[in-house]
Amino acid sequence: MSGFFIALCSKSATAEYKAGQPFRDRFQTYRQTFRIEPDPEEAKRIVKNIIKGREIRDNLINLKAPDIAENGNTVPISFSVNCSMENNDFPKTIHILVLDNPFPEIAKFYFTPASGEADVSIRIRMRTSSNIVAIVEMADGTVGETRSYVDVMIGACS
Amino acid sequence: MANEERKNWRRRLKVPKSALEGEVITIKTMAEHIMEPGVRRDPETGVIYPKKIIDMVICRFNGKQIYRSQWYSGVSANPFMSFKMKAVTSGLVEVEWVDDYGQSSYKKAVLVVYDNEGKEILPIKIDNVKSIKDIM
Repeated sequence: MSGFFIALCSKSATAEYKAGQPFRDRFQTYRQTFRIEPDPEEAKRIVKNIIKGREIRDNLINLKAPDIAENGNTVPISFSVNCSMENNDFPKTIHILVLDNPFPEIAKFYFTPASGEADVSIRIRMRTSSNIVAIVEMADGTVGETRSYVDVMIGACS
Repeated sequence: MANEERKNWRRRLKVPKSALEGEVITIKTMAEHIMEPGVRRDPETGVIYPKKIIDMVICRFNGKQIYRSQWYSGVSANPFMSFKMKAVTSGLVEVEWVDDYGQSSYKKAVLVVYDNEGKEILPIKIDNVKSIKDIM
């Protein structure tokens, strides 16, 4: 039964693909998203929606990423936040974005004061060499941002 | 095929067995999962493999959520993540991985926290218990 449905979907998908009209879905609500080209304006809009015109505090978040990544499928990154995880001085959410990916949003992290230190390391996918952006939203409403550029040798398909 | 699906359910959790009071410990998690981004297509037929990713990872300590992360398709396959936790009392650490389809799997580990004098700090105090209301 499921195979039948997949066959139906694939028929329509290939038809659209041959017609040269890819379905653009950056919010990833669908199971089948097409390989689309990255849109830098879309990435800027996403960053703008997170920051919402607030002032950016300096030296709030440190992002560690390699200068050169040989394989874009696994790029190890880690970040830490300069704060004492006490009342109202802890990061509420942290966003990780890769600007030149077709789907720029990669991960969000939600912290509480019980997590003693906002220090996370994770591995991500990158299609081309681009900027990695990390944005912190603190519990008192202030915002911090850092960027670091990574050269990617072999890109991932994401 | 069944073997490949079985692989997607293997999870790993590394928590130190004991810690001192007030120490910040690192928790390492790893899930074996394909993390299909929904973009790759079969080279012969052109059929796109449907998206199947781990959506959310939740960490709970003694049943209370202390850390949560939400992932999109940009996280690499076999996702590894490490994060920190402050050791206050000994208790149960649970990490739950929730799939795109709503399937979830979890792993648990026990953390024992010691005082400077070498006594264990229990999550509930059982020294002067006269009724059940003292524990609750």
